[in-house]
Amino acid sequence: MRYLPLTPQEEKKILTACAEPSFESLTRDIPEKLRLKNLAIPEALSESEILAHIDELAKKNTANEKLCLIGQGAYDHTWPAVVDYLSTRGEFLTAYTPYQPEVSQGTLQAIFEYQSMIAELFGMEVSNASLYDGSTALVEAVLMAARLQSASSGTVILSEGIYEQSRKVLECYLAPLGFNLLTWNANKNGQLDEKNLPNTNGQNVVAVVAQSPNKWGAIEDWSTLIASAKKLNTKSVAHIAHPHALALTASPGEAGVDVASGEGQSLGIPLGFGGPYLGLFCCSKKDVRQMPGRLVGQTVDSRGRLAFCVTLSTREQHIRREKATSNICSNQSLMALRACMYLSLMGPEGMREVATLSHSAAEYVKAELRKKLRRNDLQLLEAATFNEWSILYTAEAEAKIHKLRERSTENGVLLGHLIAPPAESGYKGALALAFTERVKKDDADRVLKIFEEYL
Amino acid sequence: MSDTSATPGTWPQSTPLLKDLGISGHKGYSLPKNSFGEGAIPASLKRKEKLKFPECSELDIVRHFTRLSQLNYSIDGGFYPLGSCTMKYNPRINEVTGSHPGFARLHPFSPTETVQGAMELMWNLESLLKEISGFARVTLIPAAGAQGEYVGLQMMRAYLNDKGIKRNKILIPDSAHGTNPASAAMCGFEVVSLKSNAEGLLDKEIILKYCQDKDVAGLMLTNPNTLGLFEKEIQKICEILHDHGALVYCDGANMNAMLGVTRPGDAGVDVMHINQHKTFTTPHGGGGPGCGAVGVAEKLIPYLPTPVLEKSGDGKAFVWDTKRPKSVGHIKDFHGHFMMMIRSYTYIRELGRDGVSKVGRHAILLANYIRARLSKVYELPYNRPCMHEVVLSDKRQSKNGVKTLDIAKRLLDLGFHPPTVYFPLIVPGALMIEPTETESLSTIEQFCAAMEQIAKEAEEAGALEKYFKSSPKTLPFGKIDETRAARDLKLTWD
Repeated sequence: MRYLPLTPQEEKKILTACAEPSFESLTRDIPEKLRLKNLAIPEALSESEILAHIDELAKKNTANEKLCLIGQGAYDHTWPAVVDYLSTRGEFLTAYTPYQPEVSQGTLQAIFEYQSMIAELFGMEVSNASLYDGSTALVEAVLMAARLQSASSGTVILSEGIYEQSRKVLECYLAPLGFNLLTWNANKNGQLDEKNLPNTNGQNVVAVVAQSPNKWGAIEDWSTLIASAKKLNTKSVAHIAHPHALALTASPGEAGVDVASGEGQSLGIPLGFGGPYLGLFCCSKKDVRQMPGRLVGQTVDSRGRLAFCVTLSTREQHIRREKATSNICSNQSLMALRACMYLSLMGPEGMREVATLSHSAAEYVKAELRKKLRRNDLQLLEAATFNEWSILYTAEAEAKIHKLRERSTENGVLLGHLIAPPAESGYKGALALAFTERVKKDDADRVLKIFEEYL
Repeated sequence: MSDTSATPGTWPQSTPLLKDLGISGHKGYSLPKNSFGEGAIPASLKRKEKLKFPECSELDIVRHFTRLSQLNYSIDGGFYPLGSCTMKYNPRINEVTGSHPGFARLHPFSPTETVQGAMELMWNLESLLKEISGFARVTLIPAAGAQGEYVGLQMMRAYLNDKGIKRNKILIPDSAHGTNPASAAMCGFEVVSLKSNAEGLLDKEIILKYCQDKDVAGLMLTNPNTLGLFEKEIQKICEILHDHGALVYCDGANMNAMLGVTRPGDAGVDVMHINQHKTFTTPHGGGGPGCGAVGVAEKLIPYLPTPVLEKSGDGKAFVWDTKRPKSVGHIKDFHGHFMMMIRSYTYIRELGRDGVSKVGRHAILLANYIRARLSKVYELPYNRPCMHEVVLSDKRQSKNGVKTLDIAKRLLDLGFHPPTVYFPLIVPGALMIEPTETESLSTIEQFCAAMEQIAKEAEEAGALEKYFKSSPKTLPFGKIDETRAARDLKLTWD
């Protein structure tokens, strides 16, 4: 077996060196009853057989051949081919966490550069080396906001516009710790509205959380979040659903947000059926000691040359154990490396161009549809949007929307994702559609035709 | 600070920061023409400050990252004996299957009828992991080991709550990985630290005593433990916990030792995470992504995180089951690190029954070779056969002033990555060595020879000055000033 080089003769040599008659005597600590007698898994496949098997499984998928207009935290962007080429170099791929900095300067400098560019994109002072994904990064942001107020639980106000999966992850983590989650309803256009802030009745509010673009695609005005946090005398947490939006829209840092999280998948990471993705996390420098996750800092080596190392480790679980800022041990290093490569290849202009291409494709289809969709059971969300927008539909139209999506899938277009509408809108559901630079003019016209034919 | 720029045509010693490479007008991308217009973001919502990213040509970027990569030690470059990290070879075929376009372009919210191949792969992988570990079901959702611990503990709590039992304490041995107490705390549990006995093992009498406390919800143990020793009383320990209405979590970081040798599920463990990035060869990637499946005993199935992969009523299709009232809920976005699952699936299918059966055996044999040979010159604090890793210490060398960190940095000069150092915390000056089964005996012999050379050097008068003080000296970088990094905090290039 090519990954098991030890020969039977060498096995004997080792047993002799250990003065043991057999493997069984060497492993005598394992009770006899627990020794595995037979492992019921299939026989080995050769390289060509495994490749054929994986091909065969891949052929059972059809989504990969369709135009993907599903968003909700994962977007079908493109990336330069060199990202794949460079990030799969064995020196990056097969290195461990850079705890021995003298032999890990490649990974360390790349993370430092990643931190620098993410902080710049967010308009904030500090980024960590990444967390698992957008939703878990948001959980960590809320926990950090609470720590900044020396609170171990309390009330968290969550915008209705947070992705449904993020809301579920927040509930999963925060409820057992005794946090009370209150929903901050959007207005009928799906936007933050100060007058809708829930009544907190003197509860200790530890964070107000909003996402932009939100789940319906609306771009939020961060000043509403900041004003609301001020009013409640608490911390503001901003979640960036799509980092490309920051090339065109206001950054949380510019607005003065306290803690920010985000999902970095669109920065050169494949959709990959949901992962691995990239949790983004930023805060201000004064709060960095409460930050979760790994951090890389600049320093020098014994010869006085620029060098990097993992720093402020005393926040982390391997030193602080149960008192750590988080239990996280890994970071999404390989994904952060891809994002670092992607951002450095795109530069400021490339980021703006991708954002504009995605936004303008979305705007084109939205405007054309607005002309055609003159009916009482459907309505396009009125808010300003980036690359994703929503059609609100009534209970009467629900069956039609389901039919439309089925027909669309058959016609090679994955027509968005169904989500709950803004409660205040009075509609039954919402269909959210996302666009990227992959969508060409004829694709956009094809989508419009599907609406015309099947709705 | 001295000059950091690379000289053209020389072997890279370091490479300048990206921000110093940029030249206005350079471009590293190629995008389609815009046939839609500029769009319409209202002025009040627009970004005010222009992004200050470097502008670089593609070749600049290729050179930058190629040079950076050359400053890394890697499994591809050499032996990497980090204990508890299982730095085994990451087969390159995994990278071919793990980037297959038939999977890479799948949106996680695609209609299930359009992603049946991906779901079948997950189903197959779960079946293999169930058989290898002896658990009733395995969830593939957790992002990494630490998240696996978190969700495992959540399931334990949900199970107890469901039975009307409110308990708040988790027993954790003093030899445990730091993630264990951190995960328990994140779940809102109180951590009670357990001492190991003179043999380096958990003592069933001590556990029995602790279990008298009716607030004990469970035990988190690691098997083999972080001293590389098999908890020989594991079955009895599980029984004690169960008799007291508590549960047993096993940290599966050291699962590699057990492959084909024994199954944690058979020992009575209720829940365990599997680090697919250790045991099943998905790449470490410089710190992640991890990939942390969690196996559970029958009684914990109702509490698995959602979505749970199931077969449809007629058995013909795979579906996501999200309507599970007892589930702990959504622990992360979507369904886990799928592209990593392709890699571990590829690895297990390629090894097959005979291959997987040899993994633990070979890993254990190589670790014991190191133990037998190096315990002649280094202190072996717990003198018994080990499993897949061995823990030595600097006790003999430190008498002459040579400490574990000195040994580690000297090892770098001799061409090897050091073992895990100063862990587990219960062994002062620990050197934790894990060879893995993918190494040949001749590589292990070379490593042992280097360790023996260091032990010999450490005996000389003035050894510290002569051999250790300035190490590493043969690398592009000298000792990195970690104190300065923490004192003069600089976390971005601004």
